[in-house]
Amino acid sequence: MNSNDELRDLWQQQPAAPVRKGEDMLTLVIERTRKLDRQIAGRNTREVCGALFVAIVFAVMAWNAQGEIERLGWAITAASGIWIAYYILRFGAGPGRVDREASVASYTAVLAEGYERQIRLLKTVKYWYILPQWIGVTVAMLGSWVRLGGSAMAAIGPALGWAFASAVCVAVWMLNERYGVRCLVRLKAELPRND
Amino acid sequence: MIEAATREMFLRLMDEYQGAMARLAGAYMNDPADRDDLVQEIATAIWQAIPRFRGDSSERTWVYRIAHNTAITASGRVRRRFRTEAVLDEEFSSPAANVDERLVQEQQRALLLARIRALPEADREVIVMHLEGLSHGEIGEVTGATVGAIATRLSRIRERLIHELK
Repeated sequence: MNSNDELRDLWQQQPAAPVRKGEDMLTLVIERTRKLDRQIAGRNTREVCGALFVAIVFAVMAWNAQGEIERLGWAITAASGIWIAYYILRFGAGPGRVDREASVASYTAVLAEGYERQIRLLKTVKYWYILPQWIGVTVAMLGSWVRLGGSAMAAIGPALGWAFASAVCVAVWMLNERYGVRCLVRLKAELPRND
Repeated sequence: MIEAATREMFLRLMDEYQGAMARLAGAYMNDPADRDDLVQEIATAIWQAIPRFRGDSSERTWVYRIAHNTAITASGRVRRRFRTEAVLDEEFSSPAANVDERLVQEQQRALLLARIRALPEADREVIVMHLEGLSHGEIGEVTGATVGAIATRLSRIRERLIHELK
């Protein structure tokens, strides 16, 4: 191997991969486009339905609550479900459909920006995702304890419920801030550098 | 209803570039199924982009931009799936002596592909376009780098590849 031309010949003479007829490729491409559209529509529907489900469940709990403080707590939790759905839809879009006709440098810059945005989102998950729900559950459990008489014995049930909800919140926080952020940082670092 | 002009352009582009796309996919993906999937994904991206093509750049650089950008996203996805680096098979490391010329060439081709796959992505995209016959200016249009930077980068990669394939 001595020259650039030999290198190019070697590259060009690769055994030809099975080439599809244009019409066959067109059929495949149209099907993939439809599948992608269905996936995006499905994902958006799932996100909205999930948030609505959470909001409805806690709204029903608020409606049926027997004490005012408890009702307030569940209402906060229901409202936080709607807030989270709004926040994800507004700020959570990842580097989904980036303009692929851009130069590779611009494309990777947009991808990097998208990852950066998602990293910021996950790093602040404790404020916009966990805190509103945790406050709602805490108020509801406090209300439940007050309704049950405010004694030490009456505190056991609400305290256990609060401890469980807090443990879930901590797990979600750790998963997002530790694992999620680490994955995104790695993906961002793997983007090609054209400098 | 698919517009006839879009369809016609797509069919022509597939006719012209499908081979190059398959070679490009080979530079990014080790597994034949992943390669085929990448070719389809590039074709899909081209299909979706055709209505927006205004001829501001040459058709060739436009196709390569889409192809490389799609490959970057796809290879990231595959890396996430496997989280293992492509292994350079030892069998590629030194073409055995006393074998006929065709076999040596096959081994060299396999070694070339393995070496190209092992390059950083930015180097890989530049060398693939160079080997496909794009000029420095065209490569610059695709990557967004200057002609000078492309020339320097290419010279370094070429020297390395030629040395490794000797």
